[in-house]
Amino acid sequence: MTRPARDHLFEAELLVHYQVVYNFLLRMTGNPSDAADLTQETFARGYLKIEQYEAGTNARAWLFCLARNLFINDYRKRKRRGEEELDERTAYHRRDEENPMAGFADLRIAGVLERDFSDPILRAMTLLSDRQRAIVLMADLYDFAEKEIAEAMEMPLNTVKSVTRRSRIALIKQLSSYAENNFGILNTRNLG
Amino acid sequence: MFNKHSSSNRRPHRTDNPLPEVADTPTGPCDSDSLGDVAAFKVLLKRNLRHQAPPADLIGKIRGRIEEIKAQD
Repeated sequence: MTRPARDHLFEAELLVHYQVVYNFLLRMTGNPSDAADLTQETFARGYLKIEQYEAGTNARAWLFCLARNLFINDYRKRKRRGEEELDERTAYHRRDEENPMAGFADLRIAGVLERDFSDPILRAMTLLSDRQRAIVLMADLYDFAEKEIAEAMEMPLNTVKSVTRRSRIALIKQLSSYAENNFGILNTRNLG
Repeated sequence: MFNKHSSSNRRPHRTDNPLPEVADTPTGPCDSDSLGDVAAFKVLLKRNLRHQAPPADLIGKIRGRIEEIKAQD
């Protein structure tokens, strides 16, 4: 690819996504400065590897794949903090796992959408593993299809489905506790 | 003595008018309530994890970084 063609492709299809990549990395790191540094690095890698990107395909998923790899392989290794991560074995045995959204029905009906949950959601996100957090952000904040998530995460589709399910259950469990304590909204479902 | 476990007792009954088959798999994430809950869950996340504006100089820094890469080529 000639340099002008490479530059045009980079500007037209990749760089236009810099804000969403920054926001994804902000939710992954919880730190604006680190997110900005990783965003720069993501686009630097994108430029260097642009031959691997097929013009007109899913640039956002391709960039999220680069961003996710940088976050896990580079940032996490530097900043390993020993955070408490959700025990997936516990999540696996949750009673309502056949219908991961069952636990959300009570909250929705009780008007949880009208309340401010920004703090508890951020807190609940930190209890997810990096992999779970990345997947739930792609699925529920950025509306990636499961196939796109599988590409971005380099994971089998069935694994994406099961991790998405468990991540949602874990978040809903955290939010249920907050809703009950702060707004008296009781969740009748057993989330484990 | 009557043998309760004779082979004739174990043979399955066949009827001319079999009952219609009923799906015995649990209701999964495809049922309409669940899909509605997924949609509402996404709304909750989007309302509470709002888009944050990146630093004003981020786009300039990215372009600067790309220029450095080009200079090294």
